[in-house]
Amino acid sequence: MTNYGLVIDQERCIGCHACAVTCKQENNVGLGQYWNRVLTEGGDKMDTPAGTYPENGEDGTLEMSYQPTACQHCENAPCVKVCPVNATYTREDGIVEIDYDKCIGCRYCMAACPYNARVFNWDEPQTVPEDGTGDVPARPQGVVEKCTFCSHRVEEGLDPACVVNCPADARIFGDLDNEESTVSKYIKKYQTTRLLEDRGTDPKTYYIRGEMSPGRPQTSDKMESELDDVSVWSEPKDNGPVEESGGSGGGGSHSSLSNDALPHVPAFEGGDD
Amino acid sequence: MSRETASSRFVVPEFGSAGKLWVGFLAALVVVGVAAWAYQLTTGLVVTGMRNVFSWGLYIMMFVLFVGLSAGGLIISSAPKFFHSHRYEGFARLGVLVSLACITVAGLLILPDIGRPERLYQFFTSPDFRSPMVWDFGIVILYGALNLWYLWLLTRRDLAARGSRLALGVEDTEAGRERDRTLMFWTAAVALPTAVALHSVTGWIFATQIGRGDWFSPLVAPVFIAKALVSGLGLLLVVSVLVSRFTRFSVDREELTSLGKVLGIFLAFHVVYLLAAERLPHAWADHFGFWAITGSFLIGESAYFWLWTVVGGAVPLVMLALPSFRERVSVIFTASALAVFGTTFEGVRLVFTGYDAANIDAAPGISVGGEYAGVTTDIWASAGSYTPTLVELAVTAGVIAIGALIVTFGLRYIPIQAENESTAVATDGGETRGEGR
Amino acid sequence: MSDDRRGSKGGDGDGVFRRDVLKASGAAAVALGLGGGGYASSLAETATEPASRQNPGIESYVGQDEVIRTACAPNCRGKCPLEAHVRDGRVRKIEPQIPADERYKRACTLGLSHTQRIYNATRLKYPMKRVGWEPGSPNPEGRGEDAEFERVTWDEALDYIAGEMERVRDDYGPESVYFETGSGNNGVSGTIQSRLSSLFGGTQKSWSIDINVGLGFRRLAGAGFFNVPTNEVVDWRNANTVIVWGSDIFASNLQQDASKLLDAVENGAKLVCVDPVFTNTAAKADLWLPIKPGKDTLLTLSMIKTVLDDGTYDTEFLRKRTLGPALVRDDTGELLDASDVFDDVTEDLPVAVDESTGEPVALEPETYGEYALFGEYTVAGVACHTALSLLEEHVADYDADAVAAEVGINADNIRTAVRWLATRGPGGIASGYGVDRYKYGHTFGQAYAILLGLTGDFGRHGSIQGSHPLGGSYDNGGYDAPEDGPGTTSLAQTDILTAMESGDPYQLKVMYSQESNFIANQMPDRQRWLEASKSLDLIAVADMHHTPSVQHADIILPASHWFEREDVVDTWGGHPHIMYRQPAHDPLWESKSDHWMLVRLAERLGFGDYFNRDKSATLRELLAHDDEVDYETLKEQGTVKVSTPVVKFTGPFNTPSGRLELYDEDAPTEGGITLELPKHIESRTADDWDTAEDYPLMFIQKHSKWRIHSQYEYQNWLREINNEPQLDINPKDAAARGIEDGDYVRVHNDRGEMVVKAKVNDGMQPGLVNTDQGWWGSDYVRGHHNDLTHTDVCEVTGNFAFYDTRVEVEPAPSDVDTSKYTSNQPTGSGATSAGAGGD
Ligand SMILES: Nc1nc2c(c(=O)[nH]1)N[C@H]1C(S)=C(S)[C@@H](COP(=O)(O)OP(=O)(O)OC[C@H]3O[C@@H](n4cnc5c(=O)[nH]c(N)nc54)[C@H](O)[C@@H]3O)O[C@H]1N2
Ligand SMILES: Nc1nc2c(c(=O)[nH]1)N[C@H]1C(S)=C(S)[C@@H](COP(=O)(O)OP(=O)(O)OC[C@H]3O[C@@H](n4cnc5c(=O)[nH]c(N)nc54)[C@H](O)[C@@H]3O)O[C@H]1N2
Ligand code: SF4
Ligand code: SF4
Ligand code: SF4
Ligand code: SF4
Ligand code: SF4
Ligand SMILES: [Mo]
Repeated sequence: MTNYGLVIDQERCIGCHACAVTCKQENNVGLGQYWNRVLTEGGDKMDTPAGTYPENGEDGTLEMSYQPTACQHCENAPCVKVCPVNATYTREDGIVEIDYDKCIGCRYCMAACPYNARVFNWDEPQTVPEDGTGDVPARPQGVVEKCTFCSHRVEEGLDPACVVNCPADARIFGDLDNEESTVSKYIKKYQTTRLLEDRGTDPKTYYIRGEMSPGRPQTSDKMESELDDVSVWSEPKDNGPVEESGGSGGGGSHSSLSNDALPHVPAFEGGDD
Repeated sequence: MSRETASSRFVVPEFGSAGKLWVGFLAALVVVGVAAWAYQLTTGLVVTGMRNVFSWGLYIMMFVLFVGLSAGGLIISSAPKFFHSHRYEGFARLGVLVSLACITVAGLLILPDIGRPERLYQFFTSPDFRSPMVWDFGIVILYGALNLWYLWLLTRRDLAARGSRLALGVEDTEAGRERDRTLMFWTAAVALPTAVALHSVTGWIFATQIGRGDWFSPLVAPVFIAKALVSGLGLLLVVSVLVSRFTRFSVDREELTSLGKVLGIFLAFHVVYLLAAERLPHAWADHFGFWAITGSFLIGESAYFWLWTVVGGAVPLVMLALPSFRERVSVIFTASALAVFGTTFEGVRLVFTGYDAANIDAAPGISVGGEYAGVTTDIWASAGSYTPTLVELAVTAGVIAIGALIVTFGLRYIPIQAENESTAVATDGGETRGEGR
Repeated sequence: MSDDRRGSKGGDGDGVFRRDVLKASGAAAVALGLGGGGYASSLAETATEPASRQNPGIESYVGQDEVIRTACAPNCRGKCPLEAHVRDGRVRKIEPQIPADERYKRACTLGLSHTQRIYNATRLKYPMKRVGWEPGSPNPEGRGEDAEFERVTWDEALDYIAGEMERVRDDYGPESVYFETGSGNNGVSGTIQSRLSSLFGGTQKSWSIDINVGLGFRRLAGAGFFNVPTNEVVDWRNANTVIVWGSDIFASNLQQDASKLLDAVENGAKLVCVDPVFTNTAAKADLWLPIKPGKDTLLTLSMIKTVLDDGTYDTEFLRKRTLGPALVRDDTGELLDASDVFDDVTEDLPVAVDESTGEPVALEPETYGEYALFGEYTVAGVACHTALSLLEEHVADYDADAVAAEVGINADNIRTAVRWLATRGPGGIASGYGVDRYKYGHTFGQAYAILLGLTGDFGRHGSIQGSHPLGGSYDNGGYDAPEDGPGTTSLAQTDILTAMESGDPYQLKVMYSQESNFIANQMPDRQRWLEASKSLDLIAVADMHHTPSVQHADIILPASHWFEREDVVDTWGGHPHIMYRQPAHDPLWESKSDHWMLVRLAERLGFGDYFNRDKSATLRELLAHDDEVDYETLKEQGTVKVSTPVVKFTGPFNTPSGRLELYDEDAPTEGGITLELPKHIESRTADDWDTAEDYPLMFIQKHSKWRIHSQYEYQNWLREINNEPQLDINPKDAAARGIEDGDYVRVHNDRGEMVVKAKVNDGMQPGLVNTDQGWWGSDYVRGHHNDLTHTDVCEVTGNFAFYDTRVEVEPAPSDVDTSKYTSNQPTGSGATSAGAGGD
C-alpha cells in the first residue's frame, strides 16, 4: 500500500514562508486564509527568539526555529471520524481529503482537529487574480478546506507544491510504506518528532530536530512543466513580439478600471493610474 | 363523554388582545430571525462572530442549552408513568409540550450554524456512523418525534372528545383511553432512555474530542445529563408558573413545591457533586499543598464558570434547600429561572474552553479567515475570542421564538390541563377547579 | 507513457517520466559529487505501485496550463529563472524553471508569488501627467503626497518628455538631462537607456551604495565592488568553515540558494555568524558573535592577531600569492622596489628575502619561494620590515581579550571562530552588506582580505570571500555606449544630490527615471532629496506600480510587468546563466515595456536610426556579439549556461604586484589617517559621538525577506504575513522608555521622524533598533525610515552609510492616527486585484 507522509527538517527550514505562500497559489486558497503556516518557535512573535540577549560577551541563551504547520494527515484522524457525512475521508494512499461537494459546513472537523489545520470559507473566497490561481478550482463559501498534500499533483506523479518550492530542501514527501523512500529512510535515520503525539492522532508529518538531514533537492522530474501533457512554450509564436502589437490597444479595456482607494496610494481624480 | 370534557381543557380558549400581542411579538421575532438567516445565507457565515480559531459560537452554545432544556418535561411526565404513578400528572402535558418546543429549537439552531444547509440530505445519503454528530442527528430527530407522539398520545382522546381535528380521527372511548395508558407506559419506557441517550450523545460530541481544551473528559456526558435535569426541570417550573399566571392553567402548589425540592437535589448533584468529581482530581494531581489544592479546586475560572456554578447553582440551591422558603412560588420561580440562566453558561463555557487556547499557539498563529480587509489587516490569531453578532442574536432569538410559539399554540389548541380523579383528590383543596370559574 | 506517469507516485516514485536529458545531467552532477545526497537517492527510487483514486477527489487543472519561461530579477542575488503557468489568459502560478544547470533551480517567497504582483491594484495603467505641471512651468511645489494626475496619451507623454529634454539641452547643455536607472530589474532596459543617454550626452549615476566593503577589499585583492566575488554557491559545500559576516544570508542574500549553504553545514561545516542581531542566520549558526555595531574592523584585527599568535597562517599561500614577505622601507613606508635592488630588473616588482639563502629576490606573482615572512632586513642599504612584520606590529594591541569588551564578544568565542577558519581547511568569510552601511566600512573589506590571506582562503574549492558568486553576463558589443555619440557623463549618487542642490558641477534639469524608487523612498535623508529635486523642471518616472517616487513625478509612464515583455536577463550576483523572458500575455492596460518607451523617445529626439522598434531584433543584436549565447538558442531553451569560473581568485591577483596586497603602499587616507594597514575608524557608533546623548540608539534598516527593497510591498500574501513596519527593540530599551510590545513609537533624530509599531525582540542588541527597509512612505503612521538616515559619507568610497545612524525612541504622541492598522479596512481595499479580467 501507499501511505504518503511528509518529513520537514526543521534544522534546514529557514522560515521563509515560501511553502505557505506557494500552497496558497497552487491550491487557490482565498485571501486571509492559510492552509500551511510557518510558526516561529522562540519568542512570542514571529521571527523573534526566546531567551535573553548575551550582553558583554556572556554566552547567549537565544534560540529560534521554525515549524511549518499544515494538516498532518493523521492516521487516526479525528476530523475523519467526526465528519457526519463522509465529506472528510482518508484516501487509500493515506491522504486525508475533503469532498467539497459533500461538505455541509458543520465545522465539527475544525473542532476535532487538534492542529487547527482546517479553515472555513466564512465568506466567498477572494483571490488575485479574481478568477483564481493554481491548479484546482476554488471552493465555495460555506465549506471547510485544508491541505490536501496536493493530491491533484501527487496523482500526476508530482510532489506537493510546498515541497517543490522549498528553497532549503527542507520538505521531503513520499511513501511511508516504502522502506526505500527518502521519508522512510530519514525517519529511521534522524531524530524525528510529531506534533501533539499524546493526542493519539498518529500524524504522518514528521519533524527532524537535532542533526540536519541532507534534505531533498527538488529538481528535474519534480516540475509540472515536465509532464507530457503540459505545453511548454519553446517555439517562437509567430505573432510577433506581444508588446509591440499595438498602440494603445494593449491589454485592459477602460471598463476594467478599478479606482479603489488603496491604503497606500492616494486616490486620483481624472482617471486612474 | 361530558366527564371527559370536563377533565381537560384548553387553558387558552382563545387569544385575547394580550395573547394576540404576544403571538404577534413572537411572530415578529421569527420574521426578523428568518430575515437575519436569509442575510447570513447570502452573505456567508462571515456575518457571525465565528472564525477559524473559534469556529462554533452562539448557535452551538444555544443548541447545547436547548437540548438540555428539552429534558425536563419529558422526564417529569414519563418517569411517573413508567412507575405507574400519577405524581406530577398535572405537569405532564405542559412538560411534554415544553420538551417538544425545546427540542425543536435545538434542532432548528443547527440550521443556521451549517455552512451549506441545502446539503443536509447528506445525513441520509452519506452518513458516517462513527460521527457523534450522526448519532446526535438521529437522536434529536427521534427525540423530537417521541415528544410529538407522546404529546399527542396524552391528549388525543381529549382532542377527540372536543372534536378537534388534531385528534386525527382517533375516537374517545374508554377502551381507547385504557389502551393509551398502556401505550403511555411503553412510551415512557422508551422516552427515558432516549432522553438519557440524547444528553449523553450531545455530551459525547464534545467529550470525544481529544484535541480541545476541557472537552475530552468522560464526565462531560454525565454532566450533560445532570445539566439537562437541572435546566429542564427549571424551565418546566418557570413555564408552569408563568402559564398559570397568564392563562387558565393551574398548578398544584404541593407538586410545585415538591418539584422545587427535586430541582434542589438535581442542582446539588450537578454543581456540587459532578463538579467536584471533575475538578478535584485535577486540582489534587496538579498541586501539593492543601491550600494549593483547595485554591485550584475553588478558583481560577472564567466568568462563565461562576455564572454557571454560583448564579445558576449555589444560589438557587440555597433558595430551594430551605423548606419554608421553597414553599413560595416566587422563590421556586426565581430559583428555577436562575438555574436555567446559569446553565446557559455551562455551554458557553464549554465552547470557550475548547477554542480560547490553541494547542499550538506559536506566532503568527492561525489565519482567522473570513473577510480579508486589505493589506493592512492582521489576519492571524493564536488564541480564540468570540462575541456573537447581531445577526446571530437575531437568528437565535427567532428560533427561540418558534419554540415559544409552539408552546403558545399548544396552550391554545391542545388541552394542556389534564384533570382526573387522582389529581383532584390529591389537591389540598386550596383551589377549586371547574369550568365555572 | 502518460498512463505510466499516472501510475507513478509523487514523492519518491519517479524515474518513469524523467526527461532523459535531465536525467543524464543530473547523474553527471551526482557523479561529480556536486548533487545532494538526497538527489542521488532520488534517482535510485522508482515507482512501485499506482496510487488509486478513491472518491471523486479534487478536480485538477494540471496539464491545462501553458507554461511560459521567464525570470524574476530585482536586485537580490537570485535572478531566478521561473515558469509562469498561464490558463485562460492569466498567470495562475509560478514555479522555478530548471535552468541548463539544474542545480540552480531556485526561487524565493517573493518570486513565487508574482501572480499577486501582475494583477495588483497598485499597477500603473495609463500614462499620466501631474495636474499643474506644464512644459516650462513645472510648479515643483505641487509634487508630493497630494499631487493629482490626469490621463494623457502615450504620444502626449513622450512628446512632453522629448520637448523638455530638447529645451533644457539648449538652455543648460545635454548633461542637464539625468537618465536614472535604479536596481529594480535586470533586463535590457538599463542598456537601452544607457545607449540613449550616451547618444544624447546625458548624465547617469555611478553607485554610492553597496560599494564600501567591496572597494576596501578591492584595494588588496583587485576584485570587489558591490561586495566581493566568491566561489559559486554550488561549491560552498566544500567549505569547512563559513563565517557569515554582516549578512542575514538566509533572509536577504541567499534565501533562494539556502540549500547550498545548508548542504555545507550538513556536510560538517561550522557556521559562524557575526551580526549584532540574532537573525535567521544566527539561529542556524554553530557560533554567533553578537558584535556591537561598527566594530567589525576591530574584531578582524583581533582575529588577525590570533592567527599570527597561533602560527596557524598558511605559509605557502603567503609566500606564493601575497605581499606578506614583501619588504617595506622603514624610511618611506613604501615597498622596496626591485629596480632599486637589482640592476637587471626594470619592472615594478616588490622584493623579499629568501630565507634559505638570505638573499633578496624580486617577488613575481604566483611564485613560491622560501621567502622570509617576518623580520627586519637591510637590503641595498635600505632598512626594511616585511609586510607581515608590520602587520604583526600593527595588531599587537588587539588581542582578543583586549578588544572583547569593546566589540561585545567573549574572547574565547573570537578565538574559536578564527581557529575554525584557520585550521579546519577550506572556508572563508561570506561578508554581506551590513558593515558596508557604516561610514568607514571599507576598512573592514581591507581587514578581512588580509585575514583570508593569512588563512589562505582564496582560489580553492570551498573558499569563500563574499556573497557574490557573480553570475553570467554577456558581451553586448558596447551597445550601451555607441562610439558616435557624445557619451554619458557619470556622477556618483552623492554628486547627483549636490548637483541638484547647487548646480555644481552643473545643473540637472530633467530626470528620466526607470526601475528606481530612489528619489522618494530609497535614498538616505529622503527629505533632502525631495527638496533638492525641486530644481528639476521635469521628473518622468517609468514604473509598474504607483510607488512613492511615481507619486513625486510629473509624467508617469506605466511599465509592463516582467512577465508581459520579451527580455533577456543576465544574472549578476546569482548563477551562471543568461535567461530569456517570454511574455505570458499582452501588457495590461496601456502599459509598455521600457524598450517600447525608450525607443519612441529616442525617435522623437532624433536617434531613431539607432534603435529598432522590434524588440526581438534589439535582443538579437544585443546577443550577437557574445560567443556563448545566441538569441535563438536562448529563446528555445529559456536559459543558456555561460562559463564563469566556479572557483574565484585563481591565478595572479588583479593588483599591481599580482599578489594579495596585504600592505597597501598606495593607501588612501581617511580624515588624515592613511590606510596601508586597516585601522579601526568609527563614526556615529563611537560612544563619545557628539549626539550620543540625545540619540543613544543606533538604527539599522535590515533587508527583509518580505520585500526586495520597495518591491513586493503591495503583495497581499506577503502583507498578510508581514503587515506593517515595525521597530525591533530590545526589551530593556523598550522598558527604559515605557514602551510595550505593540505600542506605536516615535523614532526621531535631528533630521526627521517615523512612527511605527514596537516589536519587542530579545534578539535585538540593547542599544540598537531596526526597521526593515523598503516600506513605502504610505505604510508609516508618520514619517519614513529614510527621513532618519543621512548622506554623510567617507572620503574613500563615498558610500551611503544608512546604518550609521543615531536615533531616540519614545512612545508615540497620543494624537497619532494609527487607524490604517488598528481599524478595519473597507472590504477588499487592498485585496482586490487590479481588475485585469474581462478584456
Ligand atoms: N529578501 C531580500 N533580499 C535582498 C534584498 C532585499 O531587500 N530583500 N536586497 C538585496 C540588496 S540590493 C542587497 S545590497 C543585499 C543586502 O543584504 P545583506 O547583506 O543581508 O545586508 P543587510 O540586510 O543590510 O544587513 C545584513 C546584516 O548586517 C547586520 N548588521 C548591522 N550592523 C552590523 C554591524 O555593525 N556589523 C555586522 N557584522 N553586522 C551588522 C544586520 O543585522 C543584518 O542582519 O541583499 C540583497 N538581497
Ligand atoms: N534606509 C535604507 N535605505 C536603503 C537601503 C538600506 O539598507 N537602508 N538599501 C539600499 C540599497 S542596498 C539599494 S540596492 C537601494 C535599492 O533601491 P531601488 O533600486 O530603488 O530598489 P527597488 O525598490 O527595487 O526599486 C525599483 C523600482 O523599480 C521598479 N521596476 C521594477 N522593474 C521595472 C521595470 O522593468 N521597468 C521599470 N520602469 N521599473 C521597474 C519597481 O517597481 C520599483 O519601484 O535601496 C537603498 N536604500
Ligand atoms: S519553504 Fe522550506 S525553508 Fe521555507 S519556511 Fe517552508 S519549510 Fe521552511
Ligand atoms: S491534522 Fe487535523 S485536519 Fe489533518 S488529518 Fe489530522 S485532524 Fe484531520
Ligand atoms: S464541515 Fe464538512 S468536512 Fe467538516 S465535518 Fe462538517 S461536513 Fe465534514
Ligand atoms: S502539500 Fe500542498 S496543500 Fe499541503 S501544505 Fe503543501 S502545498 Fe499546501
Ligand atoms: S526575488 Fe530574487 S530570490 Fe526571490 S525569486 Fe525573485 S529573483 Fe529569486
Ligand atoms: Mo543593494
